[in-house]
Amino acid sequence: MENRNLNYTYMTNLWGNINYKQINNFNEWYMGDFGNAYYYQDWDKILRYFAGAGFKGIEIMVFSVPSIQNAFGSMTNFKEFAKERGIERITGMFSHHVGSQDKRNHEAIFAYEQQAIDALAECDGINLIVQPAGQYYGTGPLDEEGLKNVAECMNTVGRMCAEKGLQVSIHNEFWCAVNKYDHEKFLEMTDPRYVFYCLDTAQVAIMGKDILNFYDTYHDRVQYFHLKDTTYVNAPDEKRFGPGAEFDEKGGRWFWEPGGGLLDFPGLLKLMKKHHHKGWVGIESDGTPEPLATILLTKNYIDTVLDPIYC
Amino acid sequence: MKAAASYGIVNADTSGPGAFLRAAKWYWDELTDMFAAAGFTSVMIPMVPNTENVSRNGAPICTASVRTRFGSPAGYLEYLNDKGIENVEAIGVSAQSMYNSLFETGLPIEKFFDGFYDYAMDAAEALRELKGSTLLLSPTPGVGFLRQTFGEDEGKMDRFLKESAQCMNRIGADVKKLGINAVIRNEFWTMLRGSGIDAYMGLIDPENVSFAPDPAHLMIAGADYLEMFRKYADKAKAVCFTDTKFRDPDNVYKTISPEFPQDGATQRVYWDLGYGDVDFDEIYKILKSADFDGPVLLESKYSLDIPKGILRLRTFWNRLEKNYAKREA
Repeated sequence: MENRNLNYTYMTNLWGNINYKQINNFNEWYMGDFGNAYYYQDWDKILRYFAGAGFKGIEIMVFSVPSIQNAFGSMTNFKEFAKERGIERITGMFSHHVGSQDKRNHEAIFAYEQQAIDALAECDGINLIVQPAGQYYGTGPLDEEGLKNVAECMNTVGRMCAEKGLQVSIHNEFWCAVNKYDHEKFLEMTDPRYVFYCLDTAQVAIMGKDILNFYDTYHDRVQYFHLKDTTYVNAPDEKRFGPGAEFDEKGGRWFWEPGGGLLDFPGLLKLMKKHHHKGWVGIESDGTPEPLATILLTKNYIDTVLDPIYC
Repeated sequence: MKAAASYGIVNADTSGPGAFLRAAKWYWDELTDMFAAAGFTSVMIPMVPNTENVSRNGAPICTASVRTRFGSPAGYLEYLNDKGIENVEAIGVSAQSMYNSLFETGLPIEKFFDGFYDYAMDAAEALRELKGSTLLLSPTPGVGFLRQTFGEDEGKMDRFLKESAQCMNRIGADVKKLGINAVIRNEFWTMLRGSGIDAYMGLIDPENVSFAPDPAHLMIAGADYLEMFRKYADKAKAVCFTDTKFRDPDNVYKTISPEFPQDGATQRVYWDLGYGDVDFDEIYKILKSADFDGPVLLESKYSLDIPKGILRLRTFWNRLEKNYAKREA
């Protein structure tokens, strides 16, 4: 790999569920339908799309682990399969702690996360990216006890990760029970030795936070990123706190590829340079209707806008 | 005989990118219009257990999401009626969906069928409000998943199957009081497959629960699907129509992703109705001969193009009726 401070890795959730290792027969997916289904069913092609566009890393969803294990036999095999196609590192895995505000749910969460951690460690991953609690609707606002439980849950999973040489990071969705009014407080309640922060630029901006100010303040905790753009900065509480807020009632799009919305990515890169940030930087494009276009637009934005600032 | 089109045509597996959009209410608003425009007045909805993670979905994927978006199943029916859909004829509940929810609910496997009963009864209550007739039950999780849980312990597998039958009987007796028919569907990757179906149905109380044969799943499991329809048609309260070209020589049914075979030149399991190998003309004739008058649940599972798939459902049904009329004439 060339000598860079930053390498970009792409979260694979923009493709939906991927169940096949490799599709063997084009005609089976084409004849009679005459559509493009053949091109989005298997890991073989999806990995090659990312590598072909110049990305060297990917992230996966925890929900994908059973189907990956079934298709490949093991996470190690998956890692090797990805390497053969130009993906050098499976850098991270997304998971969630729905129900963590209630201590009675912690044992089940730990058992589940141990499986996620083992799978991530097996494919030589780095970072478990965790939504710290369920949706705000029906759960929030969290009282002091609830917030403390969410933080304790995160701390324990952080220690579990450390035992396997991994790190855990908070991924704070704009619709999460941990939200605008306790976002920083929650971060400070977690143990900085074990719990880091994955700055999802769009989620945090929609929540109403100034992402540059947040990063400048908490740069020592922000070890990971999900770079994505939005046109909906500082959404009102009723939009974020409603049922299923992530899925807009009218089908509206929350997230865009970097450069497609209003966020100041050049400003963020300047701060990353100032703080000498090094490592993998994630891109997440959940919600795009056209993954290939989004991946290529993102790579072009990195090449022409971000890299000239800091790479 | 009445056709009810299944919302199972939409999925996160083969429907392509855009899973977020398919979880938006807007998408389902339009999809409901499409089913009505294709001439369907009754639908079938597969539902999963209520959990916090899925209940935020804009799709009618569980009773909680229906209640969240429409206040109640009755509120949802009002919405459907306004769009030209008269009723939700059937709701599908699946032991595999129940199994998938165990992490989030924290329910131990020992309490599996207590949870399944609650899930089914909640769906049946909703179905009554939705003016439906049929609770479609898939009675066990996949064989591959059960093997992960029980290992090679055949005794545990047998006990689980018997508990499943007891649970179906309990559900059948209780939904009957609501005016709902409990029917059991076969899937090639569950324990209710192929030649095991007759033995399982022997454990089932025929007064309260009937068998709704699915020809594609029978065919994949190596059973004589026409013979099974002949055998069960006169007692059936509903039947399932799914199409396939797939056979299972490598026993993919035993894996944890049986619907996605990893090897060979044949990896696509389900096809839009009328595009596979199942002889539906013959099945239709068998059902007519048996005076079957229940709902036919049309499912183009894992369709690759949903709007086209909905229109194909209508074309399939029109052609089936036309062919039968022509043959009779």
